[in-house]
Parts: sequence; C-alpha cells; structure tokens
Amino acid sequence: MPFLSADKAHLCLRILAAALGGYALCWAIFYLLCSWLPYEKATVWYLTGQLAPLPFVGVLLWAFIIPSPGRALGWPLLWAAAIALFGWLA
Amino acid sequence: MNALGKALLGLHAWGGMVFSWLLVPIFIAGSLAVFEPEISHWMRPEVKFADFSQSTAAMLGEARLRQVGAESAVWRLRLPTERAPSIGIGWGENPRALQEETLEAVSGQPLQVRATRGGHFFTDLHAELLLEAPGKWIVGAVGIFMLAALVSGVLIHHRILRDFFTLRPRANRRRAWLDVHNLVGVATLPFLLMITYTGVVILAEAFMPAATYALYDGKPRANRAEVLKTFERKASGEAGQLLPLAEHLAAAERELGAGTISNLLIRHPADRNGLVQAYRHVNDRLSAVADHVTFDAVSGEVFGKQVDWNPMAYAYRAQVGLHVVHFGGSALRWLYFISGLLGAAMMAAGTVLFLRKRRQRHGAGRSQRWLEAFGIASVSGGLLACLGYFWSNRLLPVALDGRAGYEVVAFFTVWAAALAHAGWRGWAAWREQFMLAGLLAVLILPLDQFTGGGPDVMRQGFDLTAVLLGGLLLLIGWRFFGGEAER
Repeated sequence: MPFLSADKAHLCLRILAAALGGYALCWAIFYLLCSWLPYEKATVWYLTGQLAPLPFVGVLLWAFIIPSPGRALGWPLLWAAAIALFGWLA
Repeated sequence: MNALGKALLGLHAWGGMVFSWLLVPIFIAGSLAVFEPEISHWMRPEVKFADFSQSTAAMLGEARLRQVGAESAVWRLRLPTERAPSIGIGWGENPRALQEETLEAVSGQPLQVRATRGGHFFTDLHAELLLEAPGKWIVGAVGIFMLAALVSGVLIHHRILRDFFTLRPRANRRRAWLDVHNLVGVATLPFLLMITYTGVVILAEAFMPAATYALYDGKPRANRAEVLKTFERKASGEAGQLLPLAEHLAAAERELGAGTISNLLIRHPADRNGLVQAYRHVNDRLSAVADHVTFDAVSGEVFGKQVDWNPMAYAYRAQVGLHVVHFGGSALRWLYFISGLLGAAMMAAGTVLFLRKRRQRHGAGRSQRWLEAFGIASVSGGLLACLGYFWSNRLLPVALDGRAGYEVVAFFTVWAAALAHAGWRGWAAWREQFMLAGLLAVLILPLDQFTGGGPDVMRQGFDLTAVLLGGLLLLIGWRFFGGEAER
C-alpha cells in the first residue's frame, strides 16, 4: 500500500505550489520592481509592501483551480524564474 | 454554482475549517485590541479616571523625573489622555530600555500598579500569537488564506444580493447555519477584505524581506531611517538648565496643533546640548505617521521638525492606520469591534456548518471528534480563555512575583481545558462552553465591584459591555446550540 494515495499526493502538491510558488513569485516581482523602478529606494520599498498579498493570493487560488497539480507548481515557479531574470537584466 | 466556485469548494470548506482554528482567535483578539487602552485601564484598577491638564501633567512628570532620573541620558514622558488617564515616565541610558513608572494624572504621585500585560496582550496575540517573528509568519500565512477564502466564498456564494436578504432561522438547522454564514459574510465582506489585506501588508515586512534585501542589503528598518528624520546631537559635557517641560509642550502645540502632543522624549536633560522631542498623536488622521518637532532643551529654539513625509510611505502607513483604527474616534472603534466579532461569528458558523455536514456523512468517528474538539476550542474555548485572562487579573494576588506571566498562563490553561472539555463532551460542549462564557462575562460586573476599588467611568463602560456580550453568549448557547447535542 503506498504511503500516500494519489488524491493526497495531489493535495500536498497543491499546498506546496500555493506556499512555494506564491513565495517565489512574490520575491521575483519585488526583485524586478526594486531593480526596475526609477524612484527613491524608500518609495519602492513602501510600494512593494502594499502589493505583497496579491501574488500569494493569486497563486493560492490558481493552485486549487488548475486541474493538473504539476502545473499548479510548475507555472508559478517558471514565472518567478522569468521575472527574476528580467529583474537581473534590468 | 459556477465552475470556479466548484473548483474552490474544497479549499473554502476544508481550508476554512482548519485555518479558522487560528483565524477565529485572531479575530477575537484583534477586536479586543481595538480597545487596548481601555482594557489596560480595567486591568489596572489602581489607576483612577480623573479630569487632568496636560500642562500640569508635564510639570508633575518632570518633577518626578528630576527625582528619580537626574543623572539619566534619556527621559520619556507619556502625557495622559482620555483613553489612558495616567502619566507614564521612563528614564535610563537607552530609549528602547527605560525604567518606567506610572503617575497619578492629577497629583503626580507614583502609583503601585499591578504587573499585567493589559490590553497589549491581545495586540500581541492578534499580530504574532506571542511568538514574535515565527508568529508573524504564521499569522501572515493565515491572513493570506483568509483573503483566498473570501474570494472563493464570493465565487461559491455568487448570488450575493439574494444571500444578503436570506435568513431562515426556522428552517432546518443546517440551512439556518448556512444562512448565518452567508449573511454575516456578505454584510461584513468589505470590512473583512480591508482588514485582512491591510493586516497582511503590515506583516509582509517580516515574512517577505525581498525588497529589504534588494534595496538595503537585508538591513531591517533601513527603510524607516530613510523616511523618518532624526534630530540628534552629542552631549557637550557642560551643564545646561532645561527649560520647564510645560513650556516645551506649549511650544510644541504651537508647532503641531493644540492638544495634539502625546509624548515627549528628552535627550541629555542636564546638558547644554540637551534636546526635547515632541510627538504628535495620530488620532485625527488616516495615515499612522506621527509628526514631530525637536527643541533645544535650554534655549527652546526649534532644532528640527518633520511634518512632510514620503508620499508612498504615507500611503503605506495609511494602510496601517486603516488596520489599527487610531483615527475616527470611538464610533469607528465600535464599528471595528462589532465587525471583527461578526467576522469571527461568520467563520464560527462556517465551522459548525462543515462539522454538522461531515458528521451526517461520516458519523462520529475519532477524526470527527478531533475536528469538533478543535473547532469548539477555537470559538467558545477562545472566548473562555479571554475571560480567564480577565478573571485572573482580579483574582491573582497583586504582589505576586511574575503575575503578568501568570495571567498569560491562566489564558492558555483555560484554553487547554476548553479543548479537553470539547474532546470529552463532543457536540454538547458548544452549548456548555457558550453558557459558561456568557456567565463569566455577566459576572465581570460584580467581580469589578468587589475587586476594582471604587467607581470609575471607564471601568463601568467595560463592565456594561461585558454584561451585554455575556447576555448575547448565553442567548447563542441557549438558542443556537440548545437541544442539538450529538445531532
């Protein structure tokens, strides 16, 4: 008997996607904004602080809407990597 | 229900039930924290409410500081207000670690105030579960879930207008609980979205330091240093005669507005280079930023002043102000208090609904008993724990060593006992715990009469609120949970 049933494994993957994907995406967006926005450092800091809940909530809902749990985790991480790369190039 | 609603039903139902174990106590504590100064006053019956003059208070505070902290590098003076009618003084070498004392606002006499965390306990419980940084991570995570639950709730209950006008108290119990959950959720939805979003914004600094690393090499509070002007200078080593603090207070009111000064911070009070910094309160503005002015302590000339702020920092602090509701006066505080409790009631109704449904489908197995125990402990157990905290404040000996800690122990002991009781009694614990909480709340009035040391208008307001809420809890226990044990 497997340690986890398929349903439970999928649920774990979705929870991981919500937590890890949300965190990675939020970090990447903040990094891009900090690299890219041509304002004083404090202005950018206080702007990002006000946006923080959005990526987390977006990814959390996404993780439970998308039919495939693999995509639930894969897409946010892929987006986070792409946005971070943009930030690094900016 | 649309496809999105169906996809999110599991997250809303299961996630809502599990996260409500923390969210309900967080909402109850947050609602109480709205009245933090009033609760602190009730828990320190040695402090009496009295008419006071801030100018006289500054004089009295200075006289006491000259007695106890003449050699200290820093003095702090908290002026009395209608919500905290006592003088607070502090003295020492480090402004963050001062020795403190409370003075009577009219006579300036030191008060032997019992050790208690007062209303601030609820603020700490609400914001960080008393766990500091790890607690902020946990509360931030449940806040993010709460936002997702609100969005998913709107998608699931998409007939919002119809739900808002639907309450069928005489329908079957499950339908009635669903109506309560929907009606309260819809009515408080704007408040819940605002309070949860701003709460997560406040905590984001702790759990999402990406901008701090990208902009300030990970140095915390560097952002504050950039927007908050500080006016300081080193001591000269030569003696200087400090102008009376009442004169500095009058000068500060001319700069920042009459009756607006909340605190004075004095650096090097006996030195020629001494400075007196006056902070404005934030009670009349949405953004929680405190304008401040600094004077030369000896000459009284303005040394520096900040009334302009970085606009984005001002907007950020407006979100903080929206959450902590120092603005708007008592009417808005009551609105927040009631809305917060309704938010907790909405989640509690959702928990009851979920548990009833699950019990009907899966029976009363061990897992069901555990889920019910945690659900009951989070709602009625949380209320009992708060009341245990208030009762311990009056029943523990005043001179007990570490009594502030024992009050917190009382809170968690009652909470643990409520969990054990819920595990033992099952569904019947809902009614028993609500009835007991109602009784303890109503009995706050005689408790205060016997242990409060005389009439006090602020404490009487607390007592009256407790009696009314106690009556409501008795009604809930009797009407909503009466006769439905094990159903």
